[in-house]
Formats: sequence, structure tokens, C-alpha cells
Amino acid sequence: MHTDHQYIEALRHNDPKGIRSIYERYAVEALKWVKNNNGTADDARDVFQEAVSILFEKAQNPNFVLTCPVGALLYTLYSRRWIDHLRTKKREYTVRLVEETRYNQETTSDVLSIAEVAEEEAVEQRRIAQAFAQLSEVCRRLFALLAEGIAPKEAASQLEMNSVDTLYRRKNACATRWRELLG
Amino acid sequence: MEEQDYLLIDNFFDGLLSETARQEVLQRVDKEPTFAAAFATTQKMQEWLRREPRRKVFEQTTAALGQSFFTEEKEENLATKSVKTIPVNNPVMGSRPGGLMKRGNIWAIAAAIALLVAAVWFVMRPQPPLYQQFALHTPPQFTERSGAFTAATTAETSFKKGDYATALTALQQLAQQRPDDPTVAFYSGVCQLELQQTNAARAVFTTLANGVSVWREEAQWYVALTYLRENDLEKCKQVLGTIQPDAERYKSAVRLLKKL
Repeated sequence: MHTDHQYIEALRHNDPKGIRSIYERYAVEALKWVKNNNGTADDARDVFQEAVSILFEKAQNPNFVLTCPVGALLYTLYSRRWIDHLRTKKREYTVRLVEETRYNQETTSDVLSIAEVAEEEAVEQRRIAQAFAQLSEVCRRLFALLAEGIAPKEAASQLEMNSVDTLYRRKNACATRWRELLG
Repeated sequence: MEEQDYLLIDNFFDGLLSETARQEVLQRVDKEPTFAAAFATTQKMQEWLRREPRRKVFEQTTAALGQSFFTEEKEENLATKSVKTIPVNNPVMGSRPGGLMKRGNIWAIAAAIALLVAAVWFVMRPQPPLYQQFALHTPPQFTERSGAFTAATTAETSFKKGDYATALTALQQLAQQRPDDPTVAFYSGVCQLELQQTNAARAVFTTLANGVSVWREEAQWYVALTYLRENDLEKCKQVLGTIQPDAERYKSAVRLLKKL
């Protein structure tokens, strides 16, 4: 376990102070790097937030243990996203890379493999979210109420359903539709 | 896969099966690839749902942090670094004779001009008031689900929407059930601050700052914000000066002091 695993614990428990410390320590570097590569402060904010979001999803797996510096992992995630963005825009700019001597030694295969797995998992989460967004409002409310820990009887009442049986029948239909949308 | 297979899987995750039926489902996951795939998909859906409330709080937190840390001021403070150019499309860049038109000098001049333009733009652009720049609130998260549930949920959702009046009413109801909860007190103070009830807010934050709860240091920062809100800059500076270097808000305090 790397000492930076504390940041994973902060993300895992949604600790606002711990999450803030990630920004305090690594946001300026991200801003600097994106600005040096034809980006703006808004661009840097967006790719950094995406990188932290990917780590957040990874951290929700209680079995995940960080074995590399979190700064190197964040750099890999946000730099890739920015370069992909530039290539998507088909810009003719040259990509200017700051001398990252600090990360040259730390961007090991460990970092790259963790980053790749984390990105794949994030893509899967986005797919699930996009499919969920296409469900009816009733389905979305139903799932949200149950996920928040609302008792089925209370959820049925809020959704103006006659009984818990009705709630679960509707839930099963919503789940079927959600699976269809996932393909 | 039949419809009853999907129903069986859904009932498994809803906790509606007997222990025997649960074990039968798990055995089918081991033996039947199609059933296992449907089980895995439903499991991912359930995990996504379970994380969604936390994800929303996380997104609010990082949105506020993003606004705070990726500002024009931060850009202004970036030092110029030497860069290595790696062409993406292998543009042809022929060598040039020596003198002022060397490649390195062209880049240095271009960088200097860009920096000058950015500096002029930064100075000339309109700035939001100081209070709005520094009063960035992390939304509350009350995790208990008991008789205080409705007030807690109302407080959370109203706060996130910026409806501080409704949030304050809900927090005051919650305070009746949790009179000693410093988190409830803290967020009541934030709502009062946003509603410009600065004296009441300051009383809350002063009590917390003099106490021993986890909100002690944060409350000290918020006492300063109450004076900033009143535009009492001298008192604001006095309070900022008492924030210790090892406090989480120390850097924010230094930044605000520079602007005052």
C-alpha cells in the first residue's frame, strides 16, 4: 500500500477535507500542464475533475488498494483526457510537454495499468448512467428512493402506488427496461 | 434467459429470496454463463444506484473546489517554465540562420507577448465581489435515517439548491432532535450567513470556534466571512490573522488577506 492511499480513503468516504487536500496538492500542476498545452483554466478544471471522478469510482471498490503515487495516477488520467480532447478537435497545434522529470520515474507500468482499468470502469459507469437517464421519471424516482434507504412501504406511498407488491412489480419492469437500454 | 430468470435475479438483489433460493441463484451463476452475465449486469446496476447519492455529493464538492482552484488568479501566478516541443503531426520546421530570429527566441518572444496579453486581460476583466469569491460552501450530508429523516433530507436538498431559507427551517427542526450536533449548528450558521443574518451566524460560528468539535477551525474562517459579508474589512483581517498556519483554511486566509 502506498502512503497516498489516504486519498483513496478520503474519496471512499466522501470526506470533503480529504478531497480538498487532493485539489490543494495537485490542481496547480494540472492547471500548469493544460495551460502549457493550449488549454484554459476551464479546460484544466474539467479534465482534472474527470480524473478525480475516475478515482472516486475506483475508490468505491472496498478492495482497491493504491500501490502508486496518486499524483502520477492523476497526471496520467488528466493528461490523457486532454490529449484525446485535442486530437478529437483535430487541432493542428503541437503538443508541448513540460519536462516532467518528477513523473518520468514514477509513471511505471503499475500506474499505467491502474489508470487503464480505472478508465474502463469509468466508461462502464457512464454507460450505466446514460441508460438510467433514458428511463421514465417514475422508474428513476423509484430506484432513487430505494437506493436512499427509503422503506418500500414509504416509497410506494410517495410514488402513489397501492402496495409494496405494485412497487416491486414496477421496479422489475424498470430493471428490465434498464437492462435493455444497456444492450 | 426467461423472464422469470431476470425476476429471480432482481429478487435476489432486493433481498426477497429465502436462503435456499439465494444459494440456488449463486449455483446457477457458477454453472450458467448467460445467467452469470445477467447477474453481473444487475449487480453493476445495483452498485451504480447505491453509489448515486454519494456521487451527487461528491460532484457538488468537486464542482465547488474546481471553481476555487482553477481561477484566472491561479493562472496569473503560474511561473514560466521551459518547454520541450513535440510535434503531433510532424510539421516541417527548417533550421534558420543564427541571430535574433533563432527558433528559441521566437518562442520566447511569443510567450512574452501572450503573457502580457493575459495580464492586461486579467487586470481589465470584471471581478466578482470578494465574498462570492471566498464563500464556497461544501454541502451537508446527514447520514442518519430515523425520525429526523425528513428534516435532514429537506435540509440537504434545499441547501444544495441554494434555498437557504427552507434549509434553515429544516435545520432548526433537526436541531430540536439533535441539540448538541455541531454539524447541524454549523450549517444553520452558513444558512444564516447566506440570508445576511450575520450577527446570528457569527454567534453560531464563534461558539463552534471556541469549542472542541471538528468544525472548530472551519468556524473560525466563517467568523471572518461574516465580517466580510458586512464589509467590515478591519475586523475580517483581525480574525483572518488568528488562523493558524497548520489550519486547513490558512491558505485561503492568506489569499483573502492579500486582497483586502
